[in-house]
Amino acid sequence: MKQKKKFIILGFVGFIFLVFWFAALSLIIKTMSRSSEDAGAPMTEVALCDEDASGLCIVTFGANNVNRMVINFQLPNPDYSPFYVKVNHRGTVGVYACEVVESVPTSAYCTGVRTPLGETIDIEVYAIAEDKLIARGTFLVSAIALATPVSLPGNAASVEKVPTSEPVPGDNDPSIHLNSK
Amino acid sequence: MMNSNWFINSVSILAQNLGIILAILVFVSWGTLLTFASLKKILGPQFTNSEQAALALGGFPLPVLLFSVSLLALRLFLPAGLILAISLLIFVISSGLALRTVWKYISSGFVLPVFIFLFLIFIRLGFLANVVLPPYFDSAEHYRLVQSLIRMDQIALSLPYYHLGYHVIIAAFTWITNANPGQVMLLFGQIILAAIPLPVYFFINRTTHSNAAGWFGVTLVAFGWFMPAHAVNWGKYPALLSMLLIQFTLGAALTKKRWLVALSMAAAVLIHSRSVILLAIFGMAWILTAVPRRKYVLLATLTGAILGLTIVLINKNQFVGLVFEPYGIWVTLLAGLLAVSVFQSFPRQIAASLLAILLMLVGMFIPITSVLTLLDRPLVEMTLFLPLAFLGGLGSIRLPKVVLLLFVTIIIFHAWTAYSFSPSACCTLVSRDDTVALDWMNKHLPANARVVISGADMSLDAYGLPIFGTGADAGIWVRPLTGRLILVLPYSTDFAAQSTHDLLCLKKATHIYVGGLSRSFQPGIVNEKPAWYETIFFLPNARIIMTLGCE
Repeated sequence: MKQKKKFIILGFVGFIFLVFWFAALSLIIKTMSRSSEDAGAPMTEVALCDEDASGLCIVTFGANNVNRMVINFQLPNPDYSPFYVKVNHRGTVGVYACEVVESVPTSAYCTGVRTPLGETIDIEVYAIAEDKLIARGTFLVSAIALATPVSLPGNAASVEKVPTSEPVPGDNDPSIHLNSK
Repeated sequence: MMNSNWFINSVSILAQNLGIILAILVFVSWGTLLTFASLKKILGPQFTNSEQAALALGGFPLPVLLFSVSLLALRLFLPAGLILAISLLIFVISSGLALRTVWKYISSGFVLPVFIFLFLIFIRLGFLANVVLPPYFDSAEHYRLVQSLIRMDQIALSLPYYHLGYHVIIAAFTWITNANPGQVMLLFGQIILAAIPLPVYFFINRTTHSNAAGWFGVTLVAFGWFMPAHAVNWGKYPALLSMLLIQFTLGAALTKKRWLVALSMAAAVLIHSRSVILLAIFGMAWILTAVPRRKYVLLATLTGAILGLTIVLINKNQFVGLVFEPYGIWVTLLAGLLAVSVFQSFPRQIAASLLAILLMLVGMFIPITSVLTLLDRPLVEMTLFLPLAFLGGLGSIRLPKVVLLLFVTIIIFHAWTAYSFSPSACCTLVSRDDTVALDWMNKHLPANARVVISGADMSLDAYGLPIFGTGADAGIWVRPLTGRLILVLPYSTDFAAQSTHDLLCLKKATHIYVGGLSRSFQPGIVNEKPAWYETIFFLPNARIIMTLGCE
């Protein structure tokens, strides 16, 4: 009987310990990720997800039908603060509105002015709530392929151009490869 | 190393989804507690606490399903607030009553299965680190049906569907918690997977009265083979959930409470219709082996010989030869040899297990319609672990504890080094580029757009009869996530052909979805026929193309 009681107590203590351990662990991780988002803490670096997917990172770049650049972000957690992006190219700053993917809350994309190819861009991520800079990174557009003769300056070393019958701005089929710098 | 990121992945998923995970665990714990209390009330001290706790984990979907059905049904008549209040009341009262019943029975025997369950959950969570939406093409349909149940707007369409029980549970949970249905499907799937090994303990311990043998069987299910864990890659969530109730039904059969068997069987069939066939097979195997003791050697030899011959024949069949692929030779051989070593002690159990395996394999060859067989290959593939683990568990009874511990260690180490705890590349149809493209599509395409998606034919039965037009890339998610109509065409479709363009115009297919997989449409179609097609959204692994030139 004493043995049984001991087991019961040990079991419950163990269970509580386990729950506590889970909760503490998640709290630590959440606190760490929040503190990195705080303006007071050092800003985080935005990297390409292929290189480092532990924080906010860029999956790919693309374009939409009105020739706007689309930046595909992976968020570190579903509760990541709503944000917008400033892209600086040669001193010209473009503001990109961002939206979270409804069905996958750790995916978001930002849309804004398309920048020339073969040149570096500085990306700054701002939390909307406090309008504070929370992350930044520099990227180089290294190659692009277009399906339509949309004339964009930049590195044409790997450009594949196939004209369409009706060249319309935004009628493009680019393959953009970017390297973080 | 294959699973080097497992721990950090599990911690990360736990931290990111702690709220939903705890909510699902409350749901599961409630179901388990109610089942455990009911078993205690019905059976008294007939079974040990460990046995009943392990079996109760298999039975948790039963009260959860009843609760979910009632909740969704009430939505037809009552306002949401009132339903939530009633639900909370039911939840609290039933938990209180159940706790009062089981309080005096709580012991190490009850706690240990719970610990193992929590440990297995932690192990399985890491799988989700790089998954954005539930895997494979089945999941898209599950998601759509769950959403239709939540919205209640297409309920009539989902009713004839044969996995309704699973959809009802996910829909009810999603509605109560306001969680993302995709996340719920993924997390619930991993929690089901963690529960599946536990009820095996009941059967082995009941037969052998050996705790060690029971836990060895659990180890075999959890770590012995690719299955059942690999089945989450196929999005076989209803079938996995039914595995719990199949075990519970078989356990209930041992209690000789017919009404409990009938109730559990009905729930299993509602969750996955082919459960009835599997239960019939297990039942038939048990009945057919009720022969005089002296005939067991003959029966087992005969069954073993036919089974061996069937396996050889199946291995020569390119469609069903895959059925044994997840069952590595060493662990399976170990289970088999251990079973042989104790044949004298458990002749009927071993003969019945062999016969059940044989009948399952035979079931793949029995046609029920022109396109369906009694059992399909994936279902047999993901169910074989049950009789195999039972055989291995029985066989372990004569092993000294040190040797048993050594085998357990080797099996876990083998799993760690040989099986990936991450998603298989075979079945991940959706990339992050796809999720963005689909979201953009939802926001920018006209409501009456019809999107062409890539499909492939797939053979799942013994005769190689294909299922036509299964989704071959993320295009399969167009309908559930955007609500746009779809047209499935073979992934090899030549879009430069006049006949294809005519077909698109005829079917009013306004857009084409091109994913980034090998079975996606060729992305170069715009280059080939710029007058017919125009890319309107581009990411490296996902494109949306508009059809031009239709009158």
